[in-house]
Amino acid sequence: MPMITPAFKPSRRDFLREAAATIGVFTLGTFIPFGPARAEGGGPAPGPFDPNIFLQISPDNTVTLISKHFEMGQGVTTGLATLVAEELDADWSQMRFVFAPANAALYNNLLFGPVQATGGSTSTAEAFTQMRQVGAAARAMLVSAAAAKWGVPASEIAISQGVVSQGANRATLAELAEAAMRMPVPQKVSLKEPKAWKLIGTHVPRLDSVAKTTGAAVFALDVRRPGMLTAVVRHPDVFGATVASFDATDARKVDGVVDVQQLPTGVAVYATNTWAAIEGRKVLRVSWDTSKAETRSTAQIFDEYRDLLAQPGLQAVKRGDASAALARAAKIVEAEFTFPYLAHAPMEPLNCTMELSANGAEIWSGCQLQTIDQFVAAQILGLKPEQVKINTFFGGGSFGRRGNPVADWVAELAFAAKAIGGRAPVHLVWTREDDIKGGFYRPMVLHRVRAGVTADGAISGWQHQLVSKSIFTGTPFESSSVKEGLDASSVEGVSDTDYAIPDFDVRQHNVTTPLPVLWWRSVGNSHTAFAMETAIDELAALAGKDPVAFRTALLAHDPRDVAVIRLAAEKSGWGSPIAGAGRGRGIAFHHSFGTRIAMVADVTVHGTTIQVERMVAAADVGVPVNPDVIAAQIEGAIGFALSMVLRNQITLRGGVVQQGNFDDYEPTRMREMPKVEVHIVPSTEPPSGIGEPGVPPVAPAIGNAVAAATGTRLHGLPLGFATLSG
Amino acid sequence: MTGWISLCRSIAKAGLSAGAVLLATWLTLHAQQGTIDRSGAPAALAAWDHIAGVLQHPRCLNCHQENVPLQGDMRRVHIPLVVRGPDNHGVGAMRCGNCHNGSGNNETSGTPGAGGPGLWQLAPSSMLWQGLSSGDLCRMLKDTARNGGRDGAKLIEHMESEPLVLWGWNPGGDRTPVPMPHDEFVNEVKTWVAGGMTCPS
Amino acid sequence: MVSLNVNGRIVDLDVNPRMPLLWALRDFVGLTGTKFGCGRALCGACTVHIDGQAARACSIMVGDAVGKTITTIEAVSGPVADAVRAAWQKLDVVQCGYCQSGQIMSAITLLTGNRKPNDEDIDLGMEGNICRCGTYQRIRAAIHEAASTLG
Repeated sequence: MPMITPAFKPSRRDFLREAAATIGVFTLGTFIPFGPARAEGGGPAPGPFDPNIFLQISPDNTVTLISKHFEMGQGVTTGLATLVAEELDADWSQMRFVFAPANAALYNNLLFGPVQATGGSTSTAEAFTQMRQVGAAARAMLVSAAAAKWGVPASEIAISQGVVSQGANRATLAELAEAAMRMPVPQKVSLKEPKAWKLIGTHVPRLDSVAKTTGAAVFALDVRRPGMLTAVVRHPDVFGATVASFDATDARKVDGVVDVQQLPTGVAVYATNTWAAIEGRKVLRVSWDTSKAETRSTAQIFDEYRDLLAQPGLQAVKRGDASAALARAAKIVEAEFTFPYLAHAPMEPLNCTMELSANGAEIWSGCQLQTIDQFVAAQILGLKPEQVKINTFFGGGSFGRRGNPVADWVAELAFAAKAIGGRAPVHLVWTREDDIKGGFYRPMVLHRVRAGVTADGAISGWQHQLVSKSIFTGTPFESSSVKEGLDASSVEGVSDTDYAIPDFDVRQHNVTTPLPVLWWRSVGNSHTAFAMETAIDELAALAGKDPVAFRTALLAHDPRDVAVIRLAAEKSGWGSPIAGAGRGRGIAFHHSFGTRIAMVADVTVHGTTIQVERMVAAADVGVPVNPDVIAAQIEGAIGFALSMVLRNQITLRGGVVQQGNFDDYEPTRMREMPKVEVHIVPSTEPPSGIGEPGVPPVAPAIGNAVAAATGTRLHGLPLGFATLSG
Repeated sequence: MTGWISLCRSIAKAGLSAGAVLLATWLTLHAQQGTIDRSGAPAALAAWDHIAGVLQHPRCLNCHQENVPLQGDMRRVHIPLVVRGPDNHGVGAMRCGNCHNGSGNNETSGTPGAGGPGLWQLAPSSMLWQGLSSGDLCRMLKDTARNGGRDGAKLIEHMESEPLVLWGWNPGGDRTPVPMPHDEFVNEVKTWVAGGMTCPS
Repeated sequence: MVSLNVNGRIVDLDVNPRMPLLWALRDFVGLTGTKFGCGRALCGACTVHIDGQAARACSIMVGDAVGKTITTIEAVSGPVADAVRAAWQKLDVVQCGYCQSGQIMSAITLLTGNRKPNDEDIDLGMEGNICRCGTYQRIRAAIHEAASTLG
């Protein structure tokens, strides 16, 4: 980012007042969990819209958004800038952005309470009103400044494409910025009617395209501090093991290695460059205490899951009498679905830099949860959270991994910096192997479904059991997200299904293991959508109904649901024959993060190879602020999810993760990418999420197409014709 | 993308036969325990069996493939996928020299290398060894129309000093080296050549 | 001391010739546009040009790059590079952007050798570059777009 001299500056007085107001009242209990947070549920709390907090208008006439949200590819910086520019009437070409400092008092997520956080596909929804208010307030202040300067009534002043005018008077935003920042911030602002929007709903170029095509974009891994040491950490091969002893004699002999220290998570090798640290770690000898470690294999763990099905479990939904309805059903689907652990595998491996000083700590990072990272680092370093300064950089992907309630890699770095007494800045770097083997996976999940239909094709009873480790239990968010042991994110997508199922029984079984789990793009929906949409498709077949008609009948109470299904069907040519051997077409629908998406997949199956040729998606995201970004998120979600559909799985043998890099945990490649079409439903409803909801329908649409092509139902992911290994 | 589908098929073919070849190699190596005549055609035949065991080892066979090299002792299709291309060095931004060093194996990245700049490549299309019987492999090897115009002396020299051949004994990483000392292998080649390069029927 | 020609200037580095070029560029020359993704030539995030040909900097060792011309994303130029960048920006290809330095370097090599690549040429030529965000559809479209502007 170029240096920008701010004209609008957050005033120190406001900063202190706001900060003082929040000290001591920070409670994680008010946090709304990522998964179940829905934009429709009440909407965000009102937030501050003082342009001095969110905008800089510079002498070069650029308007810089101070982005409260982290950019990990989802396009949020472009989105927030669009909202501000719309109400400010700025010209798009003058818009820029920088990342806000960590300050939960000013930059909190309005849906999450006093937490600065980017996640749960909430950003556009939470900031939709606030960012437009910021733009409108800035506009009003610029108009006041122009009125004073030209001695004319404010009502005569217009702003269009960044030019302020009245009669023959003309001024740029920069020319008025100095005076405008001294104007009182309006107590109330009015916002444009949707029909007056010029930028919202149009294609504006992404603000990060140029930096990301020239090598200029700075990611956390690119941070360089004077005297910085790079640290890599040898972690145990099995989860829950701890260091018993280590011998660093050979590691210390590697040219460039300057220190080796034991941390709670392993043994850190510090070096003057990355290669030396990696080579030093190779020759480190560590013996581990594995007495409390997970040492089972995948198949054994699934066996434990199956044993748990005999227990009553935790009741998530009880509606009507599923058992009685199943007893009178004409036909029944009975299926077990299995889902492996999954690594997020963002392209930029986890890393972070920390520098300690007498007054506190400074962090250079790409992170989703600045407030949590501040608390965790402060706790380890014996500081107050406000003594931990965070500089946010672009994130090279995340998919949930860069937002961790226990801030695992920030904590590891804090211990690493502390272990050498803060004598040098430390850049903690995880290699790809550290990432793939490092845990915090999408949980391994088992579903058991029994569902029936009557002779005339109505659903008659649905019993659904799920087994997994809770994501939220044991984290600081447990009190707000887990009720009597039931983690809502474990069953979301089943428990809150839109399908009208009168006799419905949903139970969750929790398992415990030292293996850490985490939200993974779309959280519970990453597996529940597959189970639900596969079972629905099977019921449609048993009922002799068309899959589209069967779904729309069950969703007749929600016209927005029906509309996306019909749109996807229409655009994909649903109902017309799909010619060719081994070819098939399937549909799936899912509603998550407030967004409704239907997808139709066309596949060809050659032997055991599944080739996805085309995906047609229809989405209702409320107001489509940046339609092109929305299309990109859905295209990308298909590319991302395809790897979990085709092959990705983390398996254990004796507790040891069997995968390690992009050869045995191989993301989708170019040749596998289907042709994707995205159709967006026009809407003036409040915007909902788009970062995650593209993922859930991908796997079931493909699975249903494979069933149509082959007559074989595959109950589990990856969709191989082989079972889980390991 | 029909081209991709046909490529999948040729990969599947290579993969399917890989196990069979390994079994044949094992049988070859373990069947030669008796006393044998070490001169003339019978000696050449006996030597050939040992040579075939080397040539059919993954270190050699993985790059003597039709269109796509294989990797490792498990003989998986090369990841990322690379294809032969017009000059046996790959296509577009996927050429062998993009990753494989001339100066040797890179023990950090695990990428093997040998022989000097730009030498790493797929064996020529005339030398596809995958799936051949021992006799057919033998006849292909001595056929100057297919072996790069090498007579017996040239073949000995090739096996003695060609960098990519020598790499089989220094493969780096956790790859299994060719299971016979190099000098013994060269002696077997010499015996085979001296015995008239006799091939099994 | 190892002497490298990077982006048109000679840099003398006190490094082991077996160090992967990636770390020499990032940690010693200070060019961080070339990314570390896998360290094993599986993802292409570290793609640079050596004598004009795409190469994975995590696998090529410093000693093997001596005497050659190394070009990174920061300095790659010319009509093909310009067309590729313009197409990437026009179609808003990037999401997180971390892989895109490598994607662009590979695309330039592909188009330099083949001015009219078809979809299969793109599949095979771009195989080595992973995008976890799944921007492949736009990468493909941008390569076609750049090819058409190059004429």
